[in-house]
Amino acid sequence: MTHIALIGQTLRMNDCTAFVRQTPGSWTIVVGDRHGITQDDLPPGGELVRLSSAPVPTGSRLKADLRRSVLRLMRRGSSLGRHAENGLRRVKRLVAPADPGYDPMGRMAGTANEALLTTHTEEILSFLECRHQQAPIAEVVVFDLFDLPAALAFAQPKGLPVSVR
Amino acid sequence: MRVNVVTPWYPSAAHPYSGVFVRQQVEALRRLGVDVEVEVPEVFPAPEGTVPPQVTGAMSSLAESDPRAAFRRDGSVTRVPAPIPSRIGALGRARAFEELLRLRRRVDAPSFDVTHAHLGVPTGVAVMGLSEAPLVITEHQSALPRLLEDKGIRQAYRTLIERSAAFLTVSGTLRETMIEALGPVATGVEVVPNIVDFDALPPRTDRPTDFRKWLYVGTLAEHKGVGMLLDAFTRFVKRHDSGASLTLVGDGPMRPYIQTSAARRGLDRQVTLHGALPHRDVPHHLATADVLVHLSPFETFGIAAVEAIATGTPVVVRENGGSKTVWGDISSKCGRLLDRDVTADGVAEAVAQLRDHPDLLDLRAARQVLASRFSAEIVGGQLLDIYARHVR
Repeated sequence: MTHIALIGQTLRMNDCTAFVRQTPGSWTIVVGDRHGITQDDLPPGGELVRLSSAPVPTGSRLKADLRRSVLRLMRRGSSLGRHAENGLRRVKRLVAPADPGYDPMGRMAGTANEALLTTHTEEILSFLECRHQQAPIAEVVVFDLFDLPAALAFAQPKGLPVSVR
Repeated sequence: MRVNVVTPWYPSAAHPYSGVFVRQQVEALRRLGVDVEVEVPEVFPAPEGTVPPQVTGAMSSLAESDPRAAFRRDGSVTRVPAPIPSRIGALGRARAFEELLRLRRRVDAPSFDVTHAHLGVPTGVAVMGLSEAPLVITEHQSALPRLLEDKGIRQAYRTLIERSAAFLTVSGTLRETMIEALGPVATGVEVVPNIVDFDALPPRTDRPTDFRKWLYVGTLAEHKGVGMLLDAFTRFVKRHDSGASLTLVGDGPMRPYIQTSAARRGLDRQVTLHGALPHRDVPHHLATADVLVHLSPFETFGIAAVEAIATGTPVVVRENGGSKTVWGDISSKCGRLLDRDVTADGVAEAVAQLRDHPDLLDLRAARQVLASRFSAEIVGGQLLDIYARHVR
């Protein structure tokens, strides 16, 4: 029996790997991001599956990738990088509001997310159905709430347990 | 008495440091006979914008069919997952927490005599309208001065102070920050400090004399002063003791910088990074170090320094608000409390001075003073008095 951990966006990867390491069983971790995890991060016997879709617009992902790359570059160990990061933070503090608050215009992005989420859900669902035919799935544990619709669509008709961690 | 503690920070397997002080408070209350349940609204990062209805609908569906699957429970701790879009802001986060806490109460409605929220924004705002029970709020976030620059958040804090049964901060410096930002309404804010677990911190029997084993405990982030710490250690090695070592316990974004920068300075064998360790492993490091050096410019309480002093390890700490009001009056017994504008050279010099005059320190006396202020019995008793004042 296979246990599935779903984490489309890998921002809670620490929580996922800590749980999988502590929980006996054969675990397959399904990730959607290109970054954040490699096979080395998994416990022995764990399997990593990468999806091609994500519930995040490509522009947002590229922006996040660029930000990560710049930060990685600045934190490589030079004092110049450290001072540059501090300088950028000070500038941001001066120009950005203390708290950006809730932006109702975010609804536009929400609509885009919905369309992407449908594709993402379909890809997860298709993977789970296919995997279940090869090796029965015992449970699905969700670490990213954007993967929950797919988990429920797959597991509820079959009476399989789904939990959020 | 039944108390519902709601806190976004509470230790877990993945985040062993998060909210250790909240857990200590919970344990102290239990020892005093209080029945405490803990609710932890957890941030599930989401893309910018509104959370799609498929996600919120799925969460409601799971909560209604199987509450324990949606809201995982470990003993008396219930985790409440909340999708938080990026750039939503602290008040937006409060609304997201409120929505999920409301869902949890719809499917599993416990009753309590007191609700105790940790952090005004987001948690206090999130729970304010959810229960008829008296609301006690403890504020201890180091981001508070920055948050209070925002007009909407200042208004939220004023409302919280007026509507809560008691509003507490963990140090005098945080209370002063609130009075400065919010005006007279904040003068009713009380100070109830963090608990220091003296049982877990037995006093060391030896007395550090050569001050060559430096220790840092905390997040490895620039705002904690770890860049300056590495600079100060480098100067100490060059000018005072080429055999000195620096151990860092904790994790954070500065970890790669420290690793690479220490290697570039030829200090890779002298600088050890242990990563984030469970809190129970920290006393061992405190008891084997010669000096704890902490250069963060702002701390609401500064628990690492207090724990070091309790263990009998001298401290060299930059004045950071918390340190001054928590143990500033006994700093000459514990080590050095440095000016805010101290330089890396000044830090290295301060450690060298301590090494030259260790006899001026009296850490046993310092421990006794701290125990009279921050032990579980003292602080737990203060909280119990506050609850009792407001329970109907």
